Amino acid sequence: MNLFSLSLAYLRTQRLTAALNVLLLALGVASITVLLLLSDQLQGNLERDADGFDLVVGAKGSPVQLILSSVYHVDIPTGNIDLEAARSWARHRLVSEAIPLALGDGFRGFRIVGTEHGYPESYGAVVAEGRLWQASLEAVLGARVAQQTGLAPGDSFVGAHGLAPGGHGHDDNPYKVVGILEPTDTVLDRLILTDVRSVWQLHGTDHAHHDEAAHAEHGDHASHDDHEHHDGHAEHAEHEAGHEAQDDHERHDDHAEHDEHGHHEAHQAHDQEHHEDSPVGHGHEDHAPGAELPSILAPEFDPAGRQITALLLKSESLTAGTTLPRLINSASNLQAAAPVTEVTRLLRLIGFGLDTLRAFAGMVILAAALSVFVALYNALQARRFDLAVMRSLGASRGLLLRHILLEGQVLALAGVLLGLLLGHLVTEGIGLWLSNAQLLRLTGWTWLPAEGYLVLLGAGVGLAAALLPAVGAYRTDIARTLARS
Amino acid sequence: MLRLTNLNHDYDGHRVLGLKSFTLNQGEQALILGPSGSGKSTLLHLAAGVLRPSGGEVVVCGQSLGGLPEAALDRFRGRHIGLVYQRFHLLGALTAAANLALAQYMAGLPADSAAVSRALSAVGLQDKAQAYPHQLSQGQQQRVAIARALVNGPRLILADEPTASLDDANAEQVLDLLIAQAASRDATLLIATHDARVSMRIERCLELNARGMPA
Ligand SMILES: Nc1ncnc2c1ncn2[C@@H]1O[C@H](COP(=O)(O)OP(=O)(O)O)[C@@H](O)[C@H]1O
Ligand SMILES: [Mg+2]
Repeated sequence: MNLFSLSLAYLRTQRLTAALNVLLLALGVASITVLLLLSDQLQGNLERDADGFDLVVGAKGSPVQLILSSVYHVDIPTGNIDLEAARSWARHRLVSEAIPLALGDGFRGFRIVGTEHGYPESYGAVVAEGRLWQASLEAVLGARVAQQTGLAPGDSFVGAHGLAPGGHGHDDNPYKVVGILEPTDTVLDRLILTDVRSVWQLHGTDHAHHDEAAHAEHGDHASHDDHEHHDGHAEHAEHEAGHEAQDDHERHDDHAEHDEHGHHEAHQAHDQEHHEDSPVGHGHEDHAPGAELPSILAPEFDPAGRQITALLLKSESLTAGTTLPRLINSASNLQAAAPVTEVTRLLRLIGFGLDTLRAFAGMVILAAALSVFVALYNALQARRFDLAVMRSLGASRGLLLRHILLEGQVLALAGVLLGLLLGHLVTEGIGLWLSNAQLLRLTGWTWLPAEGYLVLLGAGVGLAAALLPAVGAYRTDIARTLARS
Repeated sequence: MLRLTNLNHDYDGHRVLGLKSFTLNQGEQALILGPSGSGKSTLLHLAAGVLRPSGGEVVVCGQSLGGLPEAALDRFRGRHIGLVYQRFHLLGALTAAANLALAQYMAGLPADSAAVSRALSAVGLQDKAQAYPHQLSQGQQQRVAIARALVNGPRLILADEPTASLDDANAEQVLDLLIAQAASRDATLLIATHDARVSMRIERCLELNARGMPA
C-alpha cells in the first residue's frame, strides 16, 4: 500500500469520470501536439525544399504561385518564359548557379521535371540505383515515385500531358527509367527528373513554334535532316545504326531529340566545333557516371524559340536576394521571387490559422482542468469520511494533501501521455493521408522538445485542479467528520 | 494504560464533557455508558487525540497527548491506538486486506502481509481478504474494522458504539472478538455504548449523564 496505489484505487471506483477527464485532457494535448508537429515539419519541409535557391525566375504572376509551382511543385506554373531571356539572367554576375526547369507533364500524379543534373545535386541527392539521365527521354525517379509506382531502371512509362493525373498520354514517346534516387526527405522524392529536352520533345505547342524557327534559321544544316525527320517509333534502332557515322556529340543530340523535327540537332551540330576538341569523350561507352547533356544555358546552345518554365538561381552574394529581383522585375517581363520571402509570408498566413487552432486546443485543456477540478472536488465531498478515517489511522494532514495532489497528477499525466500518443498517431495518420495528396511530408514518429513543456503543462493542470480539493483534505476536521456519521 | 485528568471539552462555549479523573490500567477493559449526546464520542476522540481538549490532560501509555505536535500525534495514534466506529469505517475503494495494509502504511509502519493475514484470521475472515466492503455483510465489515484496529498491535483500543447497527448475533460476535482480542494482546479496551447488550459483558463502567458528567 502506498499513496499511488491508494489514488489508483480511488480512481478505479470513479472509472467513468476518470476516463472522461483523461480523455478530455488527452484531446486537448493531442490537438496541441498535432499542431506542434505540423507547424514544425511544415516549416522544416518548406525550408529544406527551398534551401540553397535564392531566387526563382518565371513568368509574371503571383510570386507565391511561382514559388509553389517551381520549388514545391504543388501549384500550376505561372506560365513559360523564353529561354533566351532567362539565360541572360543565368549569366548575371551575382548569380553563381542557375538551373532550368521545364514542367508540363506528369505520371500518376507525379510531376515530370525537365532540368539539369545540378537540380538533384542541389538537394545532395544520391543515386540509389542506376544513374542520372544522359539523354532525352531518360528519366530518374525520386524515392517515393519509385516506391509508389514500382518502376525500376529499365522500365518504361508514358508521361501524361498536364500536371494532373489523367491527362492524355504521350504514347509515342515513352520515358525510360535509368535511375532511382535515395530518399532525400525533400520535394525531390516525389519528382520524376529528366532532361529539359525531353519535355521540349514531348511538348506539342513548343514543337510547332520551334520548327518554324528551326527551319528558317538552320535549314542549311541539311546533313542532319535525315535524323531530324525520323519517326519516333523507329528512332532507337535507326539511331543506333546511325551512331557510327556520326561523332559522339551528335549522338547525344540525337538521343535528346529523337522525335523532334528540328532545328535543334542542327543547331547543336552547329556548335560542334566548340566541343570537338574537348578531351572528354561524349560517347555512350565513355560516359562517366552522371555525365550530362550539354547545358541549355551554355552560350553555345541556341535558345531561339525555346521556352522553359522557370529558372532557379543561386547566389553567393547576400544582397542578391533583394537586388536581383528588383532588377529582374523591372528590366524584363520576367518575374523573380525569393523563396525565403514567400515562405515567410506563407508561414505567417498559416501561423494565424495555427494560432487559432492552438487557442481552441488551449480551451479544451482548460475545460479538462475544470472537469478534473470538479471531479476531485466532488470526490472530496464523498470522501471526507474516508479522509478522516485515514487521519485516525495515523495519516498526517500533509499526507492527505499529497494524496489528493497525486490523484490530480495521475489523471493529468495519464491525459498528457495519452494525448501525446494520440497526437503522434494522428499526425502519422495525416502524413500517410497526405502522402497520396503529395502536399506535405509529415511523420508522427518524431519528438519535439516542446512536448516536454506539454508534460509540464499537464502537471500544472493537474496541480491547479487538485490544489483546492487537496487543501480541503488537508483541513479535514477528523472529530467533526467522524461524529457526523 | 489510559489516564484522563481534569478533562473537559466545550463546543462553542458550551461544556459537553467534564471529567475529574479516569484511569484504566494496561489490559483493563471498561465501558462508557450514557444517553445520546452525553459526550461519549467526545471522550473517545479526546482519548484518541483526534480532538484536542479544552482543558485537562490525556495520557496514553505514559505519553501525554497534549505534548505532541500534530504530525507526531497522528503517528502515535496510528501505532498505539486502534479505533472502531459504529459504521462507514472501511474504505470502500479498498479490499479488506488493503484496508489493513492502509493502516500499516498510514501509521508509517512497513508493509507486513503476515500481520494482515493474522489479524484477519483473528476475526475469522481470512477468506475475505480480497473482498471489497460492499461484498461483506455489516457484521463482517465490523469484524474487518476490528482486524484493522488490531493490525498494528495497539496498546489502547477505543470503540464507539461498535454494536449499534448490528443484530444480536453479530453484536455478540463483535463484542466477543473485541474483548477476547484485547485481552489476548493485553490491550486496554474502552467501549462507548448505550447498548444494553454490551453492559452485561464488561464490569467496569463509566456512566455519563446528559451534561457529560459522571453520573
Ligand atoms: N462538532 C460539534 N460541534 C458542536 N457540538 C457538538 C459537536 N460534536 C458533538 N457536539 C455536541 O456535544 C455533545 C456530545 O456529543 P457526543 O460526544 O457525540 O455524544 P454521544 O456520543 O454520547 O452521543 C452533544 O450535545 C453534541 O450535540
Ligand atoms: Mg456518539
